[in-house]
Amino acid sequence: MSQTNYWTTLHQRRISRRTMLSASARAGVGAAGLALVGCGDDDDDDDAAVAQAEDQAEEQAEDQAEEQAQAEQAVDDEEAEEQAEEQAEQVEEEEEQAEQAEEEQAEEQAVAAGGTDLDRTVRIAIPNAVGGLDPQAPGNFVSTFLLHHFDRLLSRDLATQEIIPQAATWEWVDANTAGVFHLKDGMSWHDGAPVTSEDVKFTIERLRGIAPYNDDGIYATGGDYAVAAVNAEVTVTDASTILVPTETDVTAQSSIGSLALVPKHHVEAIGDEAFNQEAFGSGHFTLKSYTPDQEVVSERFEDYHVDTDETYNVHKPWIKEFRQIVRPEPVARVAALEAGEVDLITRIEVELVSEFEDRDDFKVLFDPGCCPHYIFPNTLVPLPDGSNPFKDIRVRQAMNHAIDVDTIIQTLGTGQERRAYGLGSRQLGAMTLEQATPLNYEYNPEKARALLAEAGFPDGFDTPFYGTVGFFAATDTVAQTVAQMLEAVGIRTELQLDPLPDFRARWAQKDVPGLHYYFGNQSPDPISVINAEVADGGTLATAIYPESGIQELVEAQRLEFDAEKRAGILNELAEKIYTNANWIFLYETVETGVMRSDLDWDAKGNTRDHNYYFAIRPLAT
Amino acid sequence: MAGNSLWQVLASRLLQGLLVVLVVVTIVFFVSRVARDPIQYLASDESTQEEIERLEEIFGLDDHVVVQYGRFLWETAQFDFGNSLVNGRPALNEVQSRLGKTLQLGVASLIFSLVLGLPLGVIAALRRGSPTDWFARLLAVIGQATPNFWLGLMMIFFFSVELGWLPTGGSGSLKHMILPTVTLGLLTSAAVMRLTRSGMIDAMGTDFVRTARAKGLREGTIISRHALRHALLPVATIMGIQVGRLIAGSVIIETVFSWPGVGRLTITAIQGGDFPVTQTAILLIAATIVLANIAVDLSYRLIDPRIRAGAG
Amino acid sequence: MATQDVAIPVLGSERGRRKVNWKRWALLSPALLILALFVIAGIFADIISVYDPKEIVLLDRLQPPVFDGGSWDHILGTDNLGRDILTRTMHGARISLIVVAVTIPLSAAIGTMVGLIAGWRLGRWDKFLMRLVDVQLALPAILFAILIAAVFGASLRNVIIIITLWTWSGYARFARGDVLSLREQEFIIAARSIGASDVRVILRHLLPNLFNTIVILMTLEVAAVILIEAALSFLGIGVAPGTASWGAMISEGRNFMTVAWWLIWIPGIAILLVSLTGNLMGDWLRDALDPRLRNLR
Repeated sequence: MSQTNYWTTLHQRRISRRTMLSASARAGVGAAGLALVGCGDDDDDDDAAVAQAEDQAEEQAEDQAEEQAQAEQAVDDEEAEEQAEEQAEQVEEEEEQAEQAEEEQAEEQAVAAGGTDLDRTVRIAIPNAVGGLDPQAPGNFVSTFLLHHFDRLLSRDLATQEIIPQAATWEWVDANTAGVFHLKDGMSWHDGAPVTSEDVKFTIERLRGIAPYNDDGIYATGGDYAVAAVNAEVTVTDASTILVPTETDVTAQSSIGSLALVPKHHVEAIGDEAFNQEAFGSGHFTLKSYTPDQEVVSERFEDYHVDTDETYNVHKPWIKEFRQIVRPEPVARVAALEAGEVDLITRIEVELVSEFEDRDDFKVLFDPGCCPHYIFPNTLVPLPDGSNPFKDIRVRQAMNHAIDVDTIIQTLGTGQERRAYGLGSRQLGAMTLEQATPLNYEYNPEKARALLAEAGFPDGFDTPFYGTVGFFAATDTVAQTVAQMLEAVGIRTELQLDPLPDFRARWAQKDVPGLHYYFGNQSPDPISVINAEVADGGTLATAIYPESGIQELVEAQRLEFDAEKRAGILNELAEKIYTNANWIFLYETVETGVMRSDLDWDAKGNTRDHNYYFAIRPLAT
Repeated sequence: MAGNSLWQVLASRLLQGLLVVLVVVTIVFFVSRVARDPIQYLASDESTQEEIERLEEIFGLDDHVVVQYGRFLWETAQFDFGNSLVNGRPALNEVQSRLGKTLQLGVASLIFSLVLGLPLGVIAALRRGSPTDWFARLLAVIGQATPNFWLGLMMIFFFSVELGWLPTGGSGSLKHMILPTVTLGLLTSAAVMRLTRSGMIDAMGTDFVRTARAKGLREGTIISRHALRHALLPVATIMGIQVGRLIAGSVIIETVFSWPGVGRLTITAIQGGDFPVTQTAILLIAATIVLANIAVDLSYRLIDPRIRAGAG
Repeated sequence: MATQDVAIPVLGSERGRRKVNWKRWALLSPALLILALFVIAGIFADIISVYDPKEIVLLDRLQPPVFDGGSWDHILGTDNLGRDILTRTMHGARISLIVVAVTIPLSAAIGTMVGLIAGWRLGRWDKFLMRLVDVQLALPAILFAILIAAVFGASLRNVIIIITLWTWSGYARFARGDVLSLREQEFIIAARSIGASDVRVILRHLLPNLFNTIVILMTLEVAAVILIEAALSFLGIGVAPGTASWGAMISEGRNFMTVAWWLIWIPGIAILLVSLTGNLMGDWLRDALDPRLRNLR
């Protein structure tokens, strides 16, 4: 990850020009001095003449001696001068070095001790901000700007991605048919009221639609797949213990643990509609103001229960105030950064970002992105001409060999994208590069055509091809490029691009034949990708291969409660998905962003996005 | 209907306007339901079929479309515009605040176009045939041929990115209004200028004005009292048409300049299948256009009561 | 809002029209030339252009034009996918040509018919048809366009439909206005008195007299239609993605504005030139045929 950061510029040695000049001068003076001193021999052989000569010689010698002395004196003077100069320079150099060392030390100390400006307001330009404030309302899962106002039950270690406690700890009980949350003490909501176990129960039941406060009985909920595994009523055993009965499914822990806690007393007091407009949570930021489509202002929650020095977890932010300003046009976001209207921009085309690369006052961010790109065939339904080529593994392999993924990465991406393999590379059980590279479908159009011919399609075939526009940068251009590459081996596509929800609506019907260009995600546990796109019956699972053994692995990983063993099963699954050429595997996105150099943002290799705003550290200048 | 009192005319226009708005909203109601299924926007990748059905039930989208229409009429008559499907806020609130912003821009740009176009048109008319005239007409013709989104992008490029004088978008201060207002207003000002000019030229050549000159009236009075009056009539016509065009133009300007107006809101609502907001927004926009046109119609009478305000 | 007949106040001035206006010609000839150039480019785009407008060549992305450091391989540079800008500009001319050639006669035909019937029949026909016009005017056109695009998708065919629906009412109002003043004239009254049927009157007497007005309107609409198509494509609801339309080119290029100025300058200038020359032609035609209509725009 190339990144000019604060530290590398500091360590650049500054070679003083004066030092270089005086070094060469010193060499010159020394040589001249030698010539002056010379290696003169004194002659005094004759007596009379000698005497005279002696006198003369003496005189001469005296003169010479004088001269010598003078010369030596001069040389001495010069030498002394030089020495003095040298010394002075040395002192200067030492002082400089000492200064540098001091600075460095101070910086390092500052970093280590957190030499942070805790009063800073940080502004970010975002593409849009619409949506309500209730994290459980449908559709609000796209409202990324509100997630940090709410706290989660469990979290993940930023570096190792292990599940760790946040607002509570979790343990499996009753032979893995139930889990128990032990709620942390002393947490409070943004209005000061304490967070209790009743709130936890309320959060779960509200999503299930059975919370007693609601008269009609069912609230319009979103994301109840998170609590799909909960199969009986949640019981509060005491002030900090909550028993959650679940199906025997290890993934229930991460699903339920990722819930955002909502305040029972507030929701019951004002009702669902009002809560969507006046919500608050117990998260590390409080909501100060929200003007839809214009600006969202959040503030650090001073009473947050995790302090700033616990850096491997979600903690109290360093930022005092955080403003998210809406600028839909990418160029407008870049211009806003240039103009100093904002401090940070994300999701920018890589060409626009390259302008900032050599500048000291900005840092360019390249982060592994959220989503690997895949193209999913529909194997459940034949093509308009009656055939179903995607069922044949050779066809699927051919399609993979037809795409020059590396060139796409180099030209349309940042150049740092990784190729996509079976499941996302940052997920549990993911294949390492060593494991995956030998299995690579390298770009080979001839082989593609040969495979197609072998499978019975020597002249290729025609297929619809659906893609999205507007969600990620460049998906429409990648789609067009892929279409061209497929056509080059005989697979003639009819490309149609739509906004994301239309695309997904069509795909979820499962009766639309052809290729569908969509994404997986990189959430640490691959369960959501598996549920959506791999498992038979998944909402977006149209690429099903009954004889491949994949479904058996899907079931097995759900029931494996040992983390290591489960990782092993998932690894097998990832490899099988890849070697079976379930889909066309493209690449994993890389997110680009730019921020001012007076900010530091270490998300430990995760995508620096709304999930990690708490890790932004304004540097004390 | 000549000879009817102003009030009668006003009343009948308003009634007709109401009918028009009703038809407009009905069309939008049915078309938007064909265009989009909002549930797909509210559901996620992992939503089950059950959840989808429950969402439909809660938002009243599982009823027959005619039933939905009936309910919509009933509720709208009581000024209940429903809540946004996207964020649950009352649709009326969502639209109102944005509409205000769009009107801000619209009025500012109309004023700008008048301030720029009227004097230029008068000068061009008075100096007919001179280089000033040619230059002004050239500018106007170029102005009318420029795509407004391109002009907006150019403005951002020069004034925000290169020179850094003005903000790149958003709203909040007077500075934010300058670029969008000028972009939106430049094109209208071209039309105003041309119309004023031709109207003035015609008026200056009439018997009426010749008589006034013969009578010895001052040139200034002639220009302002008589000629300009006649020139204003087509300008008023254009203003009426421009209100509609401004709404269209504002959609694009709002996109380019990130101006939080009703145009952008409606695009998002249409594309997101947010029916309540779509319907409310278009209802209010249509009502605004209708009212503005009525105002223009009536201004005809003020400028020149001799003009028949037409049958129908 | 009721549609009133647009009776232009005739203020008693007449202008000599028969002298050849040399100044006009000086201005007009280059305009004619430019317009002709675009039309030719549009018609023969396939044959003239060296490259395929849709072919993606990733390794040639974002090449500047030859006068900004680029090579003669791509005279006007390339876009984000390596497609040649000159080729795409010519094909954009073709799209504009198609849109203009289909939309304008279509909307003129529809609008004129509506206006004719309304102005001639009066009564309930008039009321109903003019209400239709009011509805079309009150419906925020661009938002309705987005709605239509949401139903039918983005394609050239839908662009034509949308623009036709957008612009027919202008013709209707003027046609109606003209018919209202024509119907009082003697030759019409004479025709009625000898029992000519409605159809006959409309076709043989009214229509020929409307001809001038309608033609002028059509010419003036050329620029407007091109601008509307550009705007629709800019918003993403015009032609299908990948198609070379000037508006779409600007839309695709705007994200690279700061590193590749030619992506929006070149199609923008193309739109500007064609609209400009179209307007000039329309003005000239109007002045030549019917100066009364000077206050149209």
